[in-house]
Amino acid sequence: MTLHALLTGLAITLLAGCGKPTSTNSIPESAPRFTEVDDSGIDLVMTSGTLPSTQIIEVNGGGLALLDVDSDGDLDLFVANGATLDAPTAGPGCRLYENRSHDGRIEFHDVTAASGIDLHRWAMGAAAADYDGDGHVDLYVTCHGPNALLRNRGDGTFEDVTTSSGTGDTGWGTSAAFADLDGDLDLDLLVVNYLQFDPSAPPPSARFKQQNVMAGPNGLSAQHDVLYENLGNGTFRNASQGAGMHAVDPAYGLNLVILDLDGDERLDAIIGNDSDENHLYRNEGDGLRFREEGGARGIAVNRDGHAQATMGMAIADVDGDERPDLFTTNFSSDTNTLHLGRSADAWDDRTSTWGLGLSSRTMLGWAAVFGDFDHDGDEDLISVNGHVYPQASMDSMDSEYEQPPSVMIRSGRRFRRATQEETGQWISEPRRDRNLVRGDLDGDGDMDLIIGELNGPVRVLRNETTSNRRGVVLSLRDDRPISRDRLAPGARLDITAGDETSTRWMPAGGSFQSTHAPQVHVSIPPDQRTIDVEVHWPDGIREQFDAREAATRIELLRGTGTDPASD
Amino acid sequence: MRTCHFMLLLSIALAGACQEQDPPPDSASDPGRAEVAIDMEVPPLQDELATIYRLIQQDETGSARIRLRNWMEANGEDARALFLFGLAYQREKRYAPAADWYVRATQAQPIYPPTWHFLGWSRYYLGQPRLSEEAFRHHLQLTPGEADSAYGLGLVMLDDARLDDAQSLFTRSVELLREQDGRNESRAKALFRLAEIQELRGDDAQARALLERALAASDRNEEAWFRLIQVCRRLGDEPAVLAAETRHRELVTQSPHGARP
Repeated sequence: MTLHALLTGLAITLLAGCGKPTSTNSIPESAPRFTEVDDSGIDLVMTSGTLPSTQIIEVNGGGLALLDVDSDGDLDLFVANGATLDAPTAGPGCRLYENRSHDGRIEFHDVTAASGIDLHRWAMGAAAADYDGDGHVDLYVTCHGPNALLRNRGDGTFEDVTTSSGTGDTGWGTSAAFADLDGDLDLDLLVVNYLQFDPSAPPPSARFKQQNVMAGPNGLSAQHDVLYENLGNGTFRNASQGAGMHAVDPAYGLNLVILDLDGDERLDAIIGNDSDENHLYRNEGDGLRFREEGGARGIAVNRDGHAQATMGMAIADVDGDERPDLFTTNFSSDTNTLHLGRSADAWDDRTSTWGLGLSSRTMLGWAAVFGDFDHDGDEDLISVNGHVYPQASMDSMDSEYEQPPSVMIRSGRRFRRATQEETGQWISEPRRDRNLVRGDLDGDGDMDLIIGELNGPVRVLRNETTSNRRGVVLSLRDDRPISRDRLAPGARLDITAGDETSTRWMPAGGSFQSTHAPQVHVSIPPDQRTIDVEVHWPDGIREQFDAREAATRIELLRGTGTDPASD
Repeated sequence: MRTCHFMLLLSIALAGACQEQDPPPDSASDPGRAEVAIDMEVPPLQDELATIYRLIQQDETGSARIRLRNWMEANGEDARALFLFGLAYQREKRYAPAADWYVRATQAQPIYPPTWHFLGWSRYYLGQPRLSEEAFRHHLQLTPGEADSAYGLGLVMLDDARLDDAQSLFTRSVELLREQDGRNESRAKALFRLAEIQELRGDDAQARALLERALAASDRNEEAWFRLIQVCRRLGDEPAVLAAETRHRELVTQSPHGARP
């Protein structure tokens, strides 16, 4: 080495030291802490083809649904289970687990056989709601092939009413959700479809980052989404054409959320599409009439105008302006995306400034959910990850095949990635996770998680966050004879606890191919004895529930509140 | 003499790094999109390394790596060869192995400043803002006139929500590019990001003015057309929205992109 080179190297080294990294992030006071429940009683290893995956149909995994099947007040679990390429209609079957938690112990029992659920096709997604208004929560299962509507008889058993109800769409269904889209007090059904795929004639491979990989979705034919109108007599009508669902080209649909996006007291829908622009179906009223306005409203693409590969979707009022903000998970070498509502009808991508951009570039994200998991009053963000290509590694694709979950902690107007020390061992375990649902499984007032892994176990994660604030779990109920929309998916709740206010939405869609518990959760200050809630019911009616005792669980019964306009 | 030779090499290498050429053919598939132009002129080093560089430019990255191994067996570990290893992987958009080779290059001799620039971009695409910042800052210490490192560092600041810092870096990038011919695309990129900062601050009028400057520099900046649509819509200028939508649609049709096959 010459003296010159040595000196130059030294100078360069010293200069490099001048560029010390800096950070503006502040450290929050709390973080959610979860512990995996080893003996939950869920012994299922999910099936979605075999490992390593070779075709696109194998990579989505099956969905989860939290619902109270037996009306005993706790959350049971349905698992949409897949099949294999050599026997795509003869898989191991979907499963139903009854929640028998007691004494703070989370415990499930497999009641599939007793329930009469006998669904062995390649199931993908699960939507849960009481479509016939009989007080018992039913299931809709999306599949590759005919979907299935399973009616809850109320005696612990289900009957397959797909044919008689007219809901057996034969596309590749991914996600679905029930909601009262036409304001007639019953639940319509929106089914998201992906693409045409024949397992016996798979397409040739494609190229990604110099690697041969499984083909799709590009090059395969996308399928239209399907909107079923509930006719109120146990049957549905395919209303897609007249409702405007065919006014746009079909896209590779994977997910949806339903809520009143623009404050016009009608439920709208956002469809998350893979490798294509997301669709925003704005409800024009007058029955089932929608106009696709994703591009015009700024929610179809990311900040630079690029379509992404939307998988997971989650809604929250992140910036406290009472407008819904949308978070989506995406492919690796891209970023997840946060669209903030800027006005009643416009959204803008603010991913970077909220700290959700670069941190997600090596991840391929799936299900996502917001929640005040750590009881600090704001909503954090949890998503699960895992690559679709078995060849994926940092060396080959800048992204590992198995990836740990992401827990993003709110700290003011930023999110930051939580550490294992804060949240527990589970956050550091690389997995092939796909699905995630949240609900209060043990009745202690906080949000627990259930995660489904591609060709892996279903894991129960108990929330063990310690906080001096109290969790309150809210649910809605409409038992009026005129109504069949019992649990009000898509409703909005404006919650006031002392001088704290927050806006939440009752889940209708979101996560990924799954259904969260029909619960809204908030934490309140320890000395707060009552809360006020204004409910925006899905049909546009508002109702005020003042000074409700801030118990761990509160059910708000429609018709027992007051008209906010009368205050 | 040796010092003069080194400075000459450095100057030529840096001048080359400032040259802007077409992005790699598959850059449209990278959602990050803030793609660095890696087709800088070949530093006038040894003949074989120049040949290998041309192979990389031609996407013959596998052959390039074989020849690099052979070259290093004959010549020993060399920062320029290690840099080219990284560049071959970056050409394939495989930023993790690229970064590994760049790091090795920064630890070898002779000192080869462009390595830090490309290391900054690799770290950026790997979602490692602190390491990206460190690399870009290092490069800017060595070569304060490199507009693209200022631009890259500005993006890191933007991701940190450090808008004032990002603004000064993008402004610096624009000013540096003003003195350089043939880098209109880069100037458009930096102006586009300055517009983004104004948007984030809620000043749509100023954002529009900056976007129009960006598009005057390069009317092929698809992202700028897209943002102009959004800004003009908020400003209520529907004719401008329609015009921008038309141009944006043309560009997207010419160069479709997506995140996956």
